[in-house]
Amino acid sequence: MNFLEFANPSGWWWLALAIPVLLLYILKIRLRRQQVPTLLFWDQLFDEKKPRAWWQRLRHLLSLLLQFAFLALVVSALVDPLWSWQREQARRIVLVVDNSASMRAAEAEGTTRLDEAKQAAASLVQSLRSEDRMAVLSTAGRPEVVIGMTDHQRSLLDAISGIPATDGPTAVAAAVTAAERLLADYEHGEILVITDGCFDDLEALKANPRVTLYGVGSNQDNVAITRYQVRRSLLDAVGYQVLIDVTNFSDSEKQCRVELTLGEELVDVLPLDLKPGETVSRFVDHTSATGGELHAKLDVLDALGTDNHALAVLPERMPVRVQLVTQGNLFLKGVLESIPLVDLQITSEAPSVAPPGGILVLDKFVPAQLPSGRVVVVDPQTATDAWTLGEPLAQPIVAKVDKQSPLVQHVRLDNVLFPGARQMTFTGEAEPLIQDPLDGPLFARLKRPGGDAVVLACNLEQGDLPLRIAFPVLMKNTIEWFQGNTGELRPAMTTGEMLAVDVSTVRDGQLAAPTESVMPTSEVVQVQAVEEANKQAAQPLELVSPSRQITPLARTGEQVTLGPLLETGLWTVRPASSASGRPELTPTATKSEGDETNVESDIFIACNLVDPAESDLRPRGELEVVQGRSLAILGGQSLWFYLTLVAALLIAGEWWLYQRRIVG
Amino acid sequence: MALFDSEFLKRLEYLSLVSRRVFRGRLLAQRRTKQLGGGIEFADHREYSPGDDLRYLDWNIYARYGDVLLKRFQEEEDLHVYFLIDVSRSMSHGSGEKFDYARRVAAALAYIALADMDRVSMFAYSDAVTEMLPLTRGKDRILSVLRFLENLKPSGATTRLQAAATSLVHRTSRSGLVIVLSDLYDQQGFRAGLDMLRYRRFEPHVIQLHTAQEANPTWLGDIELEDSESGDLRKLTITERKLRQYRELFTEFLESIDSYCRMYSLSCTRTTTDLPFDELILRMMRTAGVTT
Repeated sequence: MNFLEFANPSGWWWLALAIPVLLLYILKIRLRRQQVPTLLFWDQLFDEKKPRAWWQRLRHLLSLLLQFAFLALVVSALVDPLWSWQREQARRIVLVVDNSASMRAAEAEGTTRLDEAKQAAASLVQSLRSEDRMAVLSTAGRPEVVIGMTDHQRSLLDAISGIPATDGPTAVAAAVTAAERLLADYEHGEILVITDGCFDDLEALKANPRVTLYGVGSNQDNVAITRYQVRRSLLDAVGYQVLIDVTNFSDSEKQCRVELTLGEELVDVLPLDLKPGETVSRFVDHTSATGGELHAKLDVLDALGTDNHALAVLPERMPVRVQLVTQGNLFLKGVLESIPLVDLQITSEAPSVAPPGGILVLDKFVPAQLPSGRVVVVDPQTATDAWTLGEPLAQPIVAKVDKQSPLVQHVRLDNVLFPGARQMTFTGEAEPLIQDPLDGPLFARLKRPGGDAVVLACNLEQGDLPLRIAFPVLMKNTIEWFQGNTGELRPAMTTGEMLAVDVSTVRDGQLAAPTESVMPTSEVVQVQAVEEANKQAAQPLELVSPSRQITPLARTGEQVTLGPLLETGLWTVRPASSASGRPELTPTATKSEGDETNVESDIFIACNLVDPAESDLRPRGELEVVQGRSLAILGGQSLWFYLTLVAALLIAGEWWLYQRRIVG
Repeated sequence: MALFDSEFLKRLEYLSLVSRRVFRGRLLAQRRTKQLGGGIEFADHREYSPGDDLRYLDWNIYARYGDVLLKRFQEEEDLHVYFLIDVSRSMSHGSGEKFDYARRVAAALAYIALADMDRVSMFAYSDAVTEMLPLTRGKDRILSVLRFLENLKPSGATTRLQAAATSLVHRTSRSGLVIVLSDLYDQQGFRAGLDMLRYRRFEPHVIQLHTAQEANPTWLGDIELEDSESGDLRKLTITERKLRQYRELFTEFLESIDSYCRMYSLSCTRTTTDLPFDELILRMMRTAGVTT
């Protein structure tokens, strides 16, 4: 067994430098000659103080020997000798660098906590001994191995400098667990964590004997948006509601404002007065048919800027095409025109099928074959395949209302007559929603495979129903029920969360199919739908980050799993083939006339920090500060270090001899 | 450039004129001897003794005070000026500036002496007298003096002032002023030579010459020094401390010359070759010693 090994045996070639050293020495002892008028004084001077010791006569030779010794030591350091016991005591270290959102907090002199952490990590790497090995983990969202176990300091430094700043939550505990798995084979492995201490299980980590926690950053004040969601109103098709929480993570009172903007349009400004530690919640109701990106901006100057912004996607309301077949019912025309988002078309002849994605309203005249699709029938005068008509009802007043149904929500029908109503017998499954005292249906929903139908048995021109508030409410409920998107919510994600997204609507090159449950009746259409579904399944998808970085997505059926997302902003799921040649559109972008390229089917996901743990920039405990070369322990250095040290001492000795000889 | 060119001769004439005006004719030729005798200039009185020449009795004193005093007069005679010029190799070290300087100073002083009708003789020496100019008088002899000086060559392996002084004493019949022009780097010591001259009633005047480099060398480190006279070599390591000690030693040497001359009332002039020779002559004339 070799007790001494050399990491770089080719370094011995440097010993050849002894030859020029010797040549220079020989040249040096050939003294320059100087003529003087007399040697009287020089003899007198040097005869007085002759060298008193024998070694003083050897000072020149000693100088040469010192130079040889210096060269030998430097060459010995270059070949990097390593004792066997040093190799056995090599350390294994896992360095965990916290790059969560709180590490983006600005510190003095324009640096961030992550910058300080990288500097501290670099100093730890530089203090490694040559036989030590280190791995580096980052902790944003989930533990990630930045670089595996290596003793190559340049690679470690490059890996550390490449650790990105993220908006993700701290996962130090998970990273320590991963580090322990990495060190499972090493009994004396060490885990070094560089963090700002802004997470809750700090004390538990401190108790772990293998873990050494190093702190960066200082105690900072911060005001943050800690919750932000938007959804469509339950009552109003074009309305929406915003929920926003703002928290003051400081020890002093703060005053600020929250500005809400929808696209380029300012929606609201909320002034806030926050006490220390207080969280204020605000609800905002507003209306917009277009939808888009709803930004919240906190007007405050603090250490962390990421949590002063939040974003949500407001679903767009598409106009619904309503075809009214009537011979001139002004009541019906007027009420349909008053409903938001209704694109009304009036005809006199009934089509065989309802408009695609739209609603067909039939006034009095109904074909024998009730058209497929979503159909509303008012005052039917003839029997169809869906019902038969009987005698007129004796007492067409409202006796029973199914208040659970959304179709009759907020509809008050006290003392309202339904003149002209006749006894109806439905051939299929029907759900009477308003009935007379004898259980005759006045307003009913028919469940059909080709699309539901709603029947209102009432002659509008004879009764007072059109004059009541209940009538427009009833029609609005019906139209919105058919649209089926009341109260729609596209939740904004929190950084670090996982999300399963239904990507069945994501298409490339053609318009997306309606998301509503429109079931085509013809077989041709069914075949087309199956082919389209197969095409969708084969279509690769990609995820575009707010900073325009593209990641391919693994698709399993109609769902993809996203996350953890580590960047705040708007993420997009889109077909992979759309990476080039397609305009980048936002949820508010509009499609030009005749543009068949489909961007409306892209899925937009808002991602915000909204994490009180990350926004609270006050460390949860005392942490040790990294000192320069913390890992360099006396006696633990490589042999070359001591060789170089001795060489430096020899240089100092040679310098001292020179001073003695020349300067005196 | 020739050692004694026309410019040099003009300077000599100038020095001669300046010396007369400044010292009112009391220069070398009019320098009084210490013998009292038949001169015309009154020296002092003494008591009359029987047998004295009554022509020198001061009758005015006798008439006024009744004292019989005899007037004494100083006897005048020509002054002999000898030059001892060091021509050893130490004087010609380097570019020989010290040697040239010594010859120019000798020429200037000789010119002044000849102009005042003094007798001038020159001896060139190193380890012994190598060249000699016999006693000469009259201003018209200046050319032979200059020729003698111009023909001098550095020679000799050592410097021995005592040998030169002995030779001078033996070759001259009358005492006089001896101007020694040398760096005084005498291995045997310069004192013995000057003592010899003093004992033989010569009046030595020492002009010590050295260069700035000799007074303040700047070499550092390991060096081999060569003696310009003997060719001996010394391998030395010169440090700042050694340089300081050298300067102290050299200063002590110069001070020892001064103290020797003071002790025996000799005049002494020390100079570096940086000083123009005519400035040196004027400085010498202004000081008591050689010129008074």
